[in-house]
Amino acid sequence: MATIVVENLSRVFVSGGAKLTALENLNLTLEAGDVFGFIGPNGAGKTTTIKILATLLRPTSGTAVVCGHDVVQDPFAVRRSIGYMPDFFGVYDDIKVWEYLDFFAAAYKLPRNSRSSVIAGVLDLTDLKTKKEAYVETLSRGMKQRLCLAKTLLHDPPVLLLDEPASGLDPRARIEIRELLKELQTMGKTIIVSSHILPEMEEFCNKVGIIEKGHLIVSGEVKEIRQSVRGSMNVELRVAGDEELATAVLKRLSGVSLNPAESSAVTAGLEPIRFVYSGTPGSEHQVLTSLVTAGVKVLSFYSPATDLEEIFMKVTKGAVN
Amino acid sequence: MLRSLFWDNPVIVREFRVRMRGARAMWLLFWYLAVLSIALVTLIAGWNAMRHAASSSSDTSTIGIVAFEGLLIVQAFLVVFITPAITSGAITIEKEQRTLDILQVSGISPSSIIIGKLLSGVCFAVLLTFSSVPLFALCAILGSVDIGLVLNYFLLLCAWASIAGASGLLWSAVARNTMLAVLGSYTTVLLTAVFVLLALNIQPATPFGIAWYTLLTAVGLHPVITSMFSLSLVGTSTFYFNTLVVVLLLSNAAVIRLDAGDGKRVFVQRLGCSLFMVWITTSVMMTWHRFSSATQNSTSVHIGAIAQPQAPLLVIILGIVVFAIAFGTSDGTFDYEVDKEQRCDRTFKRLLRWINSDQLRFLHVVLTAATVLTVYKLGHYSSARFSLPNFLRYLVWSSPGGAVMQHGTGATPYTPFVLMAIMMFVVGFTLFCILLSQITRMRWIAVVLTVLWLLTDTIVPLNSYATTGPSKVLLYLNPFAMTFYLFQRSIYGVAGMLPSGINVASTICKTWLVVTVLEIAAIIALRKVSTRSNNHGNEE
Repeated sequence: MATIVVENLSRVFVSGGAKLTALENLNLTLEAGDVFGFIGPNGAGKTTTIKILATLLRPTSGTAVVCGHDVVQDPFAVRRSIGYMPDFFGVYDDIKVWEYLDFFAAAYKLPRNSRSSVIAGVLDLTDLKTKKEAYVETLSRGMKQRLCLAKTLLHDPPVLLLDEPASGLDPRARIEIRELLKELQTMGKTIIVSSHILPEMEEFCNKVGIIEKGHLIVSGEVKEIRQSVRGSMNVELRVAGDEELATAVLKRLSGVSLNPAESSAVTAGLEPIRFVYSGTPGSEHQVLTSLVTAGVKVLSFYSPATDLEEIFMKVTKGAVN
Repeated sequence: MLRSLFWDNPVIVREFRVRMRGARAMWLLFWYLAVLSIALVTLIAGWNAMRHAASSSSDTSTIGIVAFEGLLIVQAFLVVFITPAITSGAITIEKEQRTLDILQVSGISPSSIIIGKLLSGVCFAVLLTFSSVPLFALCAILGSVDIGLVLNYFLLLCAWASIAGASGLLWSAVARNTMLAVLGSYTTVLLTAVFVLLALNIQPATPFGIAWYTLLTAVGLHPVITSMFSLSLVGTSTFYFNTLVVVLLLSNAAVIRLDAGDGKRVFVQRLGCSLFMVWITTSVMMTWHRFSSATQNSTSVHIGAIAQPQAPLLVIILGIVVFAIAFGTSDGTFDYEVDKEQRCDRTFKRLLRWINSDQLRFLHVVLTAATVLTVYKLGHYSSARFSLPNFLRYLVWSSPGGAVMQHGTGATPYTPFVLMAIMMFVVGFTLFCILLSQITRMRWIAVVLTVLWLLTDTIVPLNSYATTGPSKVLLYLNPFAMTFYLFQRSIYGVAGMLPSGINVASTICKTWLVVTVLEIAAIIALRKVSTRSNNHGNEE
């Protein structure tokens, strides 16, 4: 069963007569257990989407259904089934960590006698046990982030909406958050994580969506996207000594375009020659054959896996053009 | 529901935990008491100087009361200015600290937030007030101040603190930042103070006074506002009742604002609906009063005496009604056209669930039982005993075999009808609104139709003393208008006001019938919508 179904979602902000389309006809379906990486530059509409899913914004048109509840018609049922972590959030002053969690446990209407055990559980999960009696404002940024995550887990929601959970964190805190997300993934929760930093998404997302200027350009399984974008592939070539010959051969071949840096004088050295092959996938061996028959001493012929960053660059550039 | 609003309200728990932490609260307390102490010393010194200047035999027994009143004024001033300072930041600070989003997503209801914030603000004001008890005790030692007076005035301070706090909270919910909220609530407090001072100096008999009176009447909140402006009512049950109404209205508006989120239009619409309901209620109250005072000396109408409830029970009942109407409409009875394609929005769905749930059925059972009981009871006072054939005849025609109730016999116990009349009216009215909005599919048409219906069918016949002609027919056909008669009679015990030929028992039966029909119609209409939207969902 699909946990999140978004259909033709649009949101227009009107301020002083000026219309700003933050989101246009977004469609998205996520199953239980999916971890969806929501990627896009700042201001692309990630936060708007997540806020609509969190029932904090009303969509201008279209529908969004979370766990079978419509976000407009039944916001309170939606709120019970999601855990939402905003990109920027504050904490209350003069309050201790356990009191903070107790406050939200009461807000989620957890039974009074089970609250302390639930709080102990989430503190354990987020590794904040030692800070139970500390005042919230004394925590470090990473700890606050984890505390916020602990808060979203109190009512054990099947869906997590995390808006830039790792932004502004030092590398260590970032890794900790990532580990935590992996753990949540194994618990079978549907997670939407937004970020503008790509490498951190690749490790644990099984689906990604790339959004730019309110349009979801690409969305789907990471593997599928990789293949669909793969139409052209990057190749790294190492040769023994005769770079000029190699570049000359490459220039003659159809479907091969050298990177600008390489097409000029290639400095002799350890740098590989990089080029883009845009012929039919699987026929890149022909390039190697021509190189070898031309007498180029090929040391290695290697195509690095397309990573998210590359997909992102390709896809977003396409939209701009 | 009450448990999560009051007892287990996380906002209250957090505010109570945090409020007295840190040095800020202590300093506030310190300065509060310091100002009060200085005021007390100045008062006593000033009184002494005056006495010496007069140099005659003015007795010392008044010093206690003088100090007490002076202290009270200073304290009222402080409380009225401190409470909005606390509450006007309540929501905006959450917005500025970016904690409001998390709070709202946590599934806590807007009512819980508002009630929590309001109570914690008022409780702090109460704490301040009670911290000054030793100073008042000093006044008591000085003489002629008794404990009852002190308690009375403390209650009054709490009432003022609640109003000031609630207005601050409304500003907090509406304003973009704390600055604006504080500015807005202080402006409100000041303007109200000026307004009260002006109103106190107006003689109702002067032309200006009459204009003023007309203005207040036109506002429609008349009974509520006027009692606020009438010193003779301060401290009476009417005053506290109206304070409750004002606080509820203000906090209700704040709840609607929070609930509407970023939908400003939704907020305005819902607020309009809510105020409309209150306007209806208060207009009806006014009509009763005019109706009843017409029998007395009509020139003796005191501005503040309008719709002054005469029994504590009535205060409670009216409080419940206004609460129900105000908070009921904050869910937006008419507001279901947000999603134009599906013609069904979440509030409507919520109402749907409510209608289908056991609550309404329970209410209906109670109504039916009350109807039967009333008719049975009335049977004791008329020649016809209660029986099923009689009951059925009542439903159709008012005279079951010559058993016409003689009104004005004085022995008829009207009081038991009051609760029932209100219940029937509220339930019937809500159902009528739902039905209309369902039939017309346009919220505003429904609103206009409801207004027209109310005006023509209820208020017109009431005002024209419907005894003859078309208005009598209207009255006879409209059971809701009859409930007003019953209500009015039970309150004022006015004899001979009921148009002849109208039977109380029959009216009650017909009211019940109309409510039942409305209920069935509403349920059928709503079922249709729900199945349609369900099918719609399945197709997708």
